Amino acid sequence: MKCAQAENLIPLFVGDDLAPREADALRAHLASCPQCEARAAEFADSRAWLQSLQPPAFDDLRGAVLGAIQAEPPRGGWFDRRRAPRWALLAACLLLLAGAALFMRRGPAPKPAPDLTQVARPEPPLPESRRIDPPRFDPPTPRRAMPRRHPAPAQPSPTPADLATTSDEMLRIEMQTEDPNIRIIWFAPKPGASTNPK
Amino acid sequence: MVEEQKNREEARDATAQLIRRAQAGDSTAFDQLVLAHQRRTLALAWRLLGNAEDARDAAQEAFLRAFRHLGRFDASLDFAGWFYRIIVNACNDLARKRGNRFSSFEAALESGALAEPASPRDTESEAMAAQEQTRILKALAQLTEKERAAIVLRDLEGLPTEEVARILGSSPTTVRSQISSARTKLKAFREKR
Repeated sequence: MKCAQAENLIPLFVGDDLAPREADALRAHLASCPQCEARAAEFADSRAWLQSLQPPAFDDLRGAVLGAIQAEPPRGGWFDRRRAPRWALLAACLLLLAGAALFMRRGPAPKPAPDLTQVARPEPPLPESRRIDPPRFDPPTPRRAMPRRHPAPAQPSPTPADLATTSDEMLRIEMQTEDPNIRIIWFAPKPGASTNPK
Repeated sequence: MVEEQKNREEARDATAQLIRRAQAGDSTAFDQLVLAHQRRTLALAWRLLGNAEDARDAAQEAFLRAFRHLGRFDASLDFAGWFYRIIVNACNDLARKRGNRFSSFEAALESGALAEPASPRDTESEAMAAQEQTRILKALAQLTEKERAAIVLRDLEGLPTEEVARILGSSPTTVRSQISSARTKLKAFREKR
């Protein structure tokens, strides 16, 4: 063991706070190093000095303690007997709060969801006029229908809508939201269809 | 050694009996518990807080807390360890209430309230001893709150490191480090004459 290592261990060694193996190693070092041995002796003296600290004599505390206990509100037995109902009341309040929060989050009873099986059939591609729409579907505005009615003459790039109606590998799902101007159209690869481009 | 362990076990059994009686509503049993533990409680509070007045307040609060929670204490467990935690917490709370512990310790040092004043009848050697006591308290005041708690419980209360760690809610490794640091600082202070 080196002196630097010993220096770190000596403060714990003097109070018997080292593991036996470390203490043995340090003891062997102290036996061969007078400087570290002197340092250990100084630490031992300092510890003995601290332990010479004697508290002053205090008056009997019992009178003050018993006085303080008697001045306490009657919590002991009273509190214990009523602890269960208090917890029950707290639990009931929490349940009520949770129920109210759940009710507010759900809002009014939801409208029946559209039957997706009716709209999730992309093939065979239906002509525009025969497309099955949800009951509250508003016909698309002329502006939205314009690109399809007036396609670009030279090799138009297919829109997702065209893909849905022309591709055998795509699945198209349409949902009409409560807002008649917002319609959600969802394209996804048809299950089982190859994803590799032909 | 065997005799000492036997005495300790007898004391623990006697304490457990007192606790059971106090839990059953015997007020004299709690009075006896206070009588049995007040000296050690006051000494620990004084070493942690550095002045007699705060020590008395903290010790009284510790007994009051013990009384409030005694109904839930398992009498077969170690009462001393449980009560040490209460005392240390009561001291911490009191120190917090009065600013912080270190400053209250320092203020007490500056006002000279830490050491009992030597009476005119004291001999020279007694006066020197009182002076040395004040120096030790000053040395303790140089430590951080955690170092002071660790060194007081380990070197002055004589508790094992693992027990000190349990009381302070730390790991034994942390407590060892605090003890090592505290011993180094105390030695340096002592050498600084």
